[in-house]
Amino acid sequence: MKCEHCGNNLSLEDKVCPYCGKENTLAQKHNKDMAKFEKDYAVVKNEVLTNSRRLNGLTVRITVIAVLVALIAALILCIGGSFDIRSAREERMIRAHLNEHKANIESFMDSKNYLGLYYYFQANRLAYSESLEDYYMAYSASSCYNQMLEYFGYLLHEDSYVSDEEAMERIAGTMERFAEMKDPKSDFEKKKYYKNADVVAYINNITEHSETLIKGYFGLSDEEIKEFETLSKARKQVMLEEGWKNGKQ
Amino acid sequence: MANNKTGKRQDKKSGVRDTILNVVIVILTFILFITAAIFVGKTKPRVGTLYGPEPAERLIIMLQRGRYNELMQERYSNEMLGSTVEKYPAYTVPYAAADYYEAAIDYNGYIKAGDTAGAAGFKKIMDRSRAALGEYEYVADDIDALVAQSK
Repeated sequence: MKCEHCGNNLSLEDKVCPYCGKENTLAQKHNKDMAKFEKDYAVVKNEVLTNSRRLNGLTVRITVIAVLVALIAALILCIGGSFDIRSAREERMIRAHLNEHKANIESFMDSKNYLGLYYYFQANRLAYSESLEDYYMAYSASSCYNQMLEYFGYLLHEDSYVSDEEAMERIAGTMERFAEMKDPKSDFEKKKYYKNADVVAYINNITEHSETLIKGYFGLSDEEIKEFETLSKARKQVMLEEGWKNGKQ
Repeated sequence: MANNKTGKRQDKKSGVRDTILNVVIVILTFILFITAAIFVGKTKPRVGTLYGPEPAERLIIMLQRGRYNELMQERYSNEMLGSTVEKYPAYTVPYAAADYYEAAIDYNGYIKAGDTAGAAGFKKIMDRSRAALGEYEYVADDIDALVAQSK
C-alpha cells in the first residue's frame, strides 16, 4: 500500500509512515475491520458449537430412550413365551439325567413306594416330560393315591378344614379314576401310555392296595368292591358315607 | 446483546428438556431391570425349587400338634428335595412319625379287610418307626388311637 500523504510504499504493520511520519490510517482501518470480523466469527462459531452440542445431546438421549423402549418391548414379548422357554430348559435338564430318573422311578415301582414316586415326579418336574411319557400313568396312579390318602387323613382328623362330605366325594373320585386307569377306554391312551408292562402291573398293584383300604375302612365286602368299579361316582360316594358312618358307630 | 438473551433463553429451555429426558431414561432403565428380572425368574427351571424343604423344627411342631397328614406329605416332599435322614439326622424323629402314620393306616386297613398276611409288612414298618421315635413314642399311641377311631 502507499502512504496517502507522501505516496511512499507502506506495509500493513506500519502504524506511522517511516518517510513522512504521518499516521497510516488505511492500516488502522484494516486492523479495525479485521478485529470486528474476528469477533463476529467467534460469536457465530460459538453459536454453531452450542447449537450443535444441544442437537447432539438431544439426539443421544432420544436414541438411548428408543433403545431402552425396544429392549423392554422385546423382553415383554419373551415373557409371553416364557412357559415354552422354561419347559424346554426343564426338558433339557431331565434328558441330562434321564437314566438316573428311569432307574429311580423303576425302583419306586418295584418297592411299591407309591407316595415316593409321586413326590419324586413333583420335585423333579417330570410329570409332563416327553422323555418319560412311558411312566406318565404310573405318576397319575400315584397322584390319585396321594389324593386318596390325603382326604382319608381329613376324615381321620376331626378338626380338619375339609368336611366329611367333601372328603368322601374326593375319595370316590380317586376310586373312579383308578377304575378308568385299570380299563382305559381310549385306544389312543392305551397306545400312548400303557406300552410299559411294569407300569400296567404297578397300576394294578396300587388299585388293589387302594381297594383293600376302602374295603377295610368303609366296611365293603368283596362283592361290593367288585361292584364298586362299575358304580357311578355319586353312588360310590353314598356307599362310602354309609360305610364310614356304620364303621364309626 | 439480543443474541445473548436469546441464547440464554434457549439454554434454559434445553436444560429443562434435558432434565426431563434424563429422568425418562432413568425410569426406563429401572423398568428394563425389573422386566429382565421377571424374564429370568419366569424362564428359570423349577426343578427342585418348587416347594423347598421344610426345616426339621417345623416338622417337629407338626408332629407335636398332631398334624400327621401334613407331616406325611412334607416327609416325602423333603426327602425328594434331598433332605434325607443320612444328610440331616434332625429329621429322624419327624420322618419316623410320618412313616408310622402311613404304615398304621395301611396296617389297620388291611386288618379290617381281613388281609393279615398283607398287614404283616406294615407292622414291621410301624415297629421300626416306633423305635426311632425316642422320647416322642407317645405319638405312636396317638396315631393308633386316631386310626382306630374308624371301626
